[in-house]
Amino acid sequence: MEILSARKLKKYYGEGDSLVKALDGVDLSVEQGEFVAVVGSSGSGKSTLLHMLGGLDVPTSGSVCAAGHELSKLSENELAIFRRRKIGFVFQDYNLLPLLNVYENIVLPTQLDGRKTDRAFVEELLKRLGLADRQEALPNCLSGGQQQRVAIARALAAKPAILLADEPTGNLDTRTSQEVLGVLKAAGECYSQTIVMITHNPEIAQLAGRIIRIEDGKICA
Amino acid sequence: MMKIRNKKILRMLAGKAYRKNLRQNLMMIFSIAMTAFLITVVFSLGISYYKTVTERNLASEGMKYDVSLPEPTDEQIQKAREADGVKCAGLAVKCAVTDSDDGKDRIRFWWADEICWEKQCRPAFVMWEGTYPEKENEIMLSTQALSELGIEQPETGMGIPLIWSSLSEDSDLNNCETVFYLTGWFEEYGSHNSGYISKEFYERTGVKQTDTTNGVLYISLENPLYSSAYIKKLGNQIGLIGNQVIYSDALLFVKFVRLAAGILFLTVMTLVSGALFVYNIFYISVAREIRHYGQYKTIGMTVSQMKKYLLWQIFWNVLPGILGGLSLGCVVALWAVPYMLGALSGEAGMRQVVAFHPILLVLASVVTLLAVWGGCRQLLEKTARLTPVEAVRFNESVRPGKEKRRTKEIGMFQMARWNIFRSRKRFMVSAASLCMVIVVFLVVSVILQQNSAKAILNKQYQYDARVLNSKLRDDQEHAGITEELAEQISGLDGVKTVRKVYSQEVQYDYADTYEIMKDYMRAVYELPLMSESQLEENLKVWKNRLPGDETYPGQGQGRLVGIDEAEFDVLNKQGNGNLDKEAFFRGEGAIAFGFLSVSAESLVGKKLNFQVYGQPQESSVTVKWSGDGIETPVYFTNDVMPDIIVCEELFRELVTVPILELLDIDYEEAFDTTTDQAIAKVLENHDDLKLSTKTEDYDLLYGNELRLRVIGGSLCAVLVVLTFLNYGNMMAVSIQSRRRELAAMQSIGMTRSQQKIMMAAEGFHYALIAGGISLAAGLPLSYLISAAVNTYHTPYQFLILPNLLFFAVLFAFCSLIPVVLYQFLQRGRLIELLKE
Repeated sequence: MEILSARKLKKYYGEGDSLVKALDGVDLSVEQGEFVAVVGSSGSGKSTLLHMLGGLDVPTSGSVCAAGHELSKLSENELAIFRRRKIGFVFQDYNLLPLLNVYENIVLPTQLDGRKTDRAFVEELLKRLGLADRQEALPNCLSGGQQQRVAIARALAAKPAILLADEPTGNLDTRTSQEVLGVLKAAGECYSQTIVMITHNPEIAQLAGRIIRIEDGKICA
Repeated sequence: MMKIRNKKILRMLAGKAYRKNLRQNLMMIFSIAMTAFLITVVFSLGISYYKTVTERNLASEGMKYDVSLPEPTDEQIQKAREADGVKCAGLAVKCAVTDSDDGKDRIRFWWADEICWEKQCRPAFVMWEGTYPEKENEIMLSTQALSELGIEQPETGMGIPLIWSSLSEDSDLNNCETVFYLTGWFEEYGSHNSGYISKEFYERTGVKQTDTTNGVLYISLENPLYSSAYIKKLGNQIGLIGNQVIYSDALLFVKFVRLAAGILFLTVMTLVSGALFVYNIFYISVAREIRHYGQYKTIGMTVSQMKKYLLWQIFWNVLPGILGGLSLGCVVALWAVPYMLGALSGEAGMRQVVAFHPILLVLASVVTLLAVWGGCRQLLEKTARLTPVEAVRFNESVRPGKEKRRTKEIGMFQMARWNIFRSRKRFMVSAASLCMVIVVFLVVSVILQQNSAKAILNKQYQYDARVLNSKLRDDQEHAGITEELAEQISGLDGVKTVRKVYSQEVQYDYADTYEIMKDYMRAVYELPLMSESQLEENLKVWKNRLPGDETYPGQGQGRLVGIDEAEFDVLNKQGNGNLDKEAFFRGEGAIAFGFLSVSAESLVGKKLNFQVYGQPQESSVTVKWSGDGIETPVYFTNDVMPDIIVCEELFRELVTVPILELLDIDYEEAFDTTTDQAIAKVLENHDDLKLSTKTEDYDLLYGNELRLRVIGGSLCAVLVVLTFLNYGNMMAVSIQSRRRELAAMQSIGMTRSQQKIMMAAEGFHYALIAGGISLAAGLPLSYLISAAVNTYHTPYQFLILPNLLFFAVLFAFCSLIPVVLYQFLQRGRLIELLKE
């Protein structure tokens, strides 16, 4: 069953000679439970595609349909609600909230939605991501790798239908990267989550079910 | 050697940074200007009040003096001139008046000695022309008197026929017709129909300077802010006799100290408020530019160069700020001060002097500079000494700390609380600024209420209307108010109660009473306006008074007063219910009221023997209670002896022909003009009765109240604007520094609506914390300040409604402003905000 799709997706910046085509007519379809890796060179449009799929940015033209929602038809507030219920984001630069400790950062999307936190699940996540003893630490006291793991835990904690990860292992060592990917895959399989992950690492990309290559704003394979 | 032009470079760099931060700098200029402006107005108020106080007699008497002594003897005049602290003492005697058959105002003829004329009259005139009269038929008239006589273009030497009468009781010079020759004219500040005549004419009238109400010694002091202790000393040096008193304002110094304290309070509040605002803006500018400062440090800028670089920017704000504020202050002070003075002085007709002095501008500039320096100093020092690494690491939006206890539920209010405390320093500054304005509002609102016309009148008048038997003393116990009249007034619509007060002159026998009253008498003559030397003299007169001698004024005379139940209830309420009503109405004793502020406590339990005027037999009552702290119910008083109040029934037993001195009337509704008119109608044909109502004074006092409200309100408004701008500015910067964080929240599912709620909650918390602290500190402070400046002794009153409204506005403003700013500042594509 298709859970995520993009039709003729374009994202242009600037105009005239300075026109940049970040995405240039991307068509994409992702099935529920699929683990897709997006690879491509720097500036190829990977992150832009991910932002469009998650409703963080508005396309110049084309459409994105995610979890049965046509994103262009949602208002700003509806998009935010959609994101917290259906999408889990793992940002390259984490975007953790400096005022909240690890635990609070992780449970925030669930609590913003007024849902009860699945404490056991969160505890399990923390344990598996090696953060069990850092629950009360503030982000500015964590290393880059630890912050990345918190960001992953936050994305998984709400059990979203779709997980969008932008270089989730970029700041992690090989062993931790393997562990994190293990968690991602396990969660995907357990909750039938769809994962779209951007990576530069061909080895990590190989762990995905499908690899999409993007160059100059277009999907190559 | 090559000249190093680093000063110029520093100024250039500072200039660039200044222009880049133009919005913040304009805000700082505005805050400095507002501080300078407020301080100018406050200082102008102070200096003007001082001038008004020192020249307060100009309008009321048309003379420049500080205190006066009625009916002085030559010996006293000499002693007064030689007394410590006396600048000069001039004698003026009112010796004749013109007749006024045609309904025109009478012209009073005064003779002034040389000192009085040269040093006290002439400096008090708006203008004068001509010379002081020397011959018997010469006169100098006020422009108002000339105008009354129909002379608009006076000329020296012109003849003016006038019919006049001497004010001497022994003189038979009545309705004399004389053609006076004009030697000059003058214009006074007040409206007086007066003229000055020669010494020759004065001697002809037969009036003596010691005649009651005619002669006055006007005394100018070296220190116009005299104390009551000084007046007491002056009285002793002059040697007061009989019932003479020095007319002075016993509370002048106290009032001045109170006002000075008020001005100091406003100055400190303004200074602190201005300093907080300056600090906040400077902090924001520094936080924004700190990385650049770090870069400058990296490439070799020294601490002193960094200070100069920052000082240039401060200087460019200070210069236009102070100049603008002072200019605005001058304009407003010249307009506002005259109105404010009338309101603060509470004295009707007081000449309102607009005082402005260059020193005032210097002082205001210095205080403003202090505020700026207070706001910048610490930050300037700290910034200049930051190392490059510290500058790069500077992140004001992240709270230091390693761990935070896990929270079960994270709500909007919870996050708002965390957010406001993320920069504790900024929170402290903004909250302190909000506290400041709330406290000022609380204090000003209490003082305004305290000085409201109704509060003053309710305190000063224990009745809504009073009918006074004004000729009671004219022909020795004149019966003007009848029981029927009291009944008639009582039956009028709108009248709730008519309280009857009877009174009768009594003579105490020296032999029976002196021992009992010894302590009381000593206390009386220890009053600042009395002199101890009078005591011995007066006791001698009292002692030698023969039985049956009813001449007035004498010594040992007092008043016996009879009151009904309604009047007693009013007195007892004032005395906090300490009087025993049943015992009083059983006739078991009397209440004794001392002269002025003298306590009658020493008379409690003593039996007083006296002789009622016109009755041969001696009577007596026992004093059971002292009336200390209670307003005496009678209008007239005799001598310095206490008023003795008994119940109506006992009064009728003691006095064969009881006479009503006055009726105190309470209305169903206070300030009811219809009832005023109804009573006035009843009294239409009673020339011997005088009606006074609360409403009469209301208009005059309401004018003062209105002016005080406008001025107090304006001062508050400026502080409110300053504070709210400070708050808005702080919030704008807080939101700007969190743009990325807010976008991150949005990206993980926080809606804009939720973020707006969070913003409103932040503002609400500010208002809540500042409001709480201010109420806790402001209420006691408002009580203390209002007690200190309570000229009219009105009760402390905290008005719920205006304060609720103010707090509602405060909460609404504090909650809404962050939402509006968020809406305005957190715009743009989410992904762009995340990349910031």
